[in-house]
Amino acid sequence: MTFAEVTGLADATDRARHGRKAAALATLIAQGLPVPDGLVLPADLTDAQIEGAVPDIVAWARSHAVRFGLVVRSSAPEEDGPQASFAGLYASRFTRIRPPALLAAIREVRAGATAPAVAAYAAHRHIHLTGRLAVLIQPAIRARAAGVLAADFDPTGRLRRWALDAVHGLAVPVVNGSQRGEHHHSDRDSPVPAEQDVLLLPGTARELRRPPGEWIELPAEKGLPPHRVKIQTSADGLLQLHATLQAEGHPLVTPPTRDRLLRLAGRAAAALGLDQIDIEWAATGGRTLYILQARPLTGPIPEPHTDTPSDDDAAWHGIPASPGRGGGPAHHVRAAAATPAGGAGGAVIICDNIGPDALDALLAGPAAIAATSGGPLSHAAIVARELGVPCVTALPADLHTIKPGTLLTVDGTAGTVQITAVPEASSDRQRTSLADAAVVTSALPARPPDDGRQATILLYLPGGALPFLPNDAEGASCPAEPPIGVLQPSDQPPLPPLPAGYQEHRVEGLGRLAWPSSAGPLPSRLVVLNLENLIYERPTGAVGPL
Amino acid sequence: MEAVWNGILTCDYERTRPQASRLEWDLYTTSLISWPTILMDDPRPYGRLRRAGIVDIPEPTHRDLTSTWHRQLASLRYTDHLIARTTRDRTVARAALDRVDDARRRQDVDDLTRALAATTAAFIRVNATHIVNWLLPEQHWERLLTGIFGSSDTALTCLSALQLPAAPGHILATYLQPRHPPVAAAASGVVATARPQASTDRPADLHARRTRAASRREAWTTAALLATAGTDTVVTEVRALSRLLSWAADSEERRNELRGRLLAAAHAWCALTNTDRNQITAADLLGEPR
Repeated sequence: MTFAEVTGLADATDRARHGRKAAALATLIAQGLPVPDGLVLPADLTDAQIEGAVPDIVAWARSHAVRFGLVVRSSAPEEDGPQASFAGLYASRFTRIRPPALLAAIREVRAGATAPAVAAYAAHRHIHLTGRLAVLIQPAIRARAAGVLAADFDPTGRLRRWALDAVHGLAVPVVNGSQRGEHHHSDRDSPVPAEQDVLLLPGTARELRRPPGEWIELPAEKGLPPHRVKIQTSADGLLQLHATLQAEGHPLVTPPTRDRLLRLAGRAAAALGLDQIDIEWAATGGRTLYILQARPLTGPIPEPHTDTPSDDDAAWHGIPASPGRGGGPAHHVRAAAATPAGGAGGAVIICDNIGPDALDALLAGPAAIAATSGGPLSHAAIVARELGVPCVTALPADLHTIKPGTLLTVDGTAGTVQITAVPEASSDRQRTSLADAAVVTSALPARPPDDGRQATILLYLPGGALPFLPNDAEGASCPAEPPIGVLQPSDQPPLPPLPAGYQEHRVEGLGRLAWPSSAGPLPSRLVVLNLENLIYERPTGAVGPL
Repeated sequence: MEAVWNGILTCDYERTRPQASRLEWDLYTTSLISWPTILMDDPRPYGRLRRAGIVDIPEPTHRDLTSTWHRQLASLRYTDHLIARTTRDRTVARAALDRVDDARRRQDVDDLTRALAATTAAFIRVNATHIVNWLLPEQHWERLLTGIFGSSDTALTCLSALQLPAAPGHILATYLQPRHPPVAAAASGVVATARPQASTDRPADLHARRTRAASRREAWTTAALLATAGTDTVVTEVRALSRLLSWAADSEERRNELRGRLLAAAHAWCALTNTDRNQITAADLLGEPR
């Protein structure tokens, strides 16, 4: 089918005019492979021609009873080549079937031809750019699952090695790396589960008018009841939905579906004359599989994922909840079950959240807590701070798949969990010499300190009562060793009347200081201790006139 | 809170608390809509109810109310007032719950109904503080402390140390208190009997740990004040945030205890009045028409 300016995808075989993406899909259609129908706006069209083609595209979509809008995709002559994929550099846009929205989406995608990132990539790979691209328009697929598949075949067409990633809904989150898909690999017996909290689907006009919080029915696998998820937000023809966790033991891609995908990849590779192929695919609620893109694989098959961050620098990220670092073997604590304390001492406790039943394990002296839910005010966080145990909350749920005993380091300040070779002891701050330092505190220590400090200085905030200070007579009968001063951290108002033997000083940029006349010069630095550890210090500064 | 959609922010307890009952959703949404009135005497509602469990907040309303609140939170006078009024609200709710427990003991349905209405009204005020989970100016405080200490890590450590409730959190409290009175224990929703026997010799250790945490909070408060010393407006802001962070942690802990007691009382009322606990609403407990 060909309108005045538009080519049907099946006929879009000219790489220069229709781009490599469209040309590859046209080849697959010719070989009977399942590719969604579509239209191509050739690369040589003017903007006026594009504008004139929009009503034809809308009419085509309506004649094809398109329900979930359209996807507008780049198809550049240089894209999807054997040496350079340009992956992720050109744009794709989902849109409703309305002329203004469609035209805007097409223009946005075409603008990618001159995007700086595209030019920089092309220059790096020594590829000449034409500065134009064709646009491929297809019905958006309401995918139950989608993803990418990389496969390597020997010269006889036999499958050697492959890797497959899948997510609920459209493949966008796994393609752009914002979500971790369910990972299958020829070198692994079982898949690594997905870590997906958001899924994307094209929506009907009615669904796209519904606000966040409303429910959407997901396409279900054949034979299974449909299930529903909540709208997180929507825009430009796409619904962003809160993903629900898949049922335990039920992978998103079953072995039969995986095998069908691998067979499709083999047929596509043969049709395109490739030994290594990279395809983007989608599965609908029925058993229909679609190939959405097929291109040469420009790198080796990725190595299999592990259940854990893949390199030394990788870390799980969560919300910092209780400061400090702690390291030790992983120890899982399950909610809603009384948890024995055994094994928790010196370990990193991995839990969903902390309930009363888990407290015994906490009290066994864990090195740290890694919780997969909650925030800084959740109960796990509060308990951890109360116990002085480093803690991170809201970590990815895949932390639960860590093997017990794996050595972990939790950084409760940075909010990270990492696999570590050597367990680290919980630490706070280093001990330092207190010579020439006055220790600032909110209350006098119960016993005279013997840590070498020059003085103890009580923090005084205006409006309260001045802390008790020994006067001359009391000081003579029981000399305060080390001396005691008072600091008001503001210049105004003046300090309340001081006992005999004390003198008030204005310290520039600091406030007012009450200091015993007999104690000699003012301390040169002020420090704050947490127990014996120095956590902050600043110099005293110049003393000004009263 | 969901992202802004067509100028509306949505707070969806259906999603964040999927196991909650209709009554719990009612309590959350009613408290959410009325937090400006309860916490700062601002009569503007914080959004409108879409259905039980979901509140839609126009973005300008959200922006105006939160920025007004955040400005007030920098003032010591308001901070003290806020802490005093929410403490008073908890005291009122606790006293009302004591009356509920008394009526339950006597199996006096009329008294229980009246006391439960008063408790529900009081708890809605207490529950308004649940907004501390996402409406406090934490990013501003983090930036402020990062500027003060010159280090993001130190700022986060300080913030974390300050988020300690004034009294032990409800989980720790179950271990620090040797025994609960039977009714109070049952009503609190805390399963006292599930406490492991091994913990009975640990209160001293727990007290010591809790004391260290309180010392850490004091030390970091002092450090932040010393770091800002000489700049009065910042000293005031640090004093305010220090009180607020402790208050926020305390509010969450104490609110949770009261919530557990209220729900237990509501379930007891349902049993006595042959009412379906899954269908009751806050209006039912308040004695209002639906």
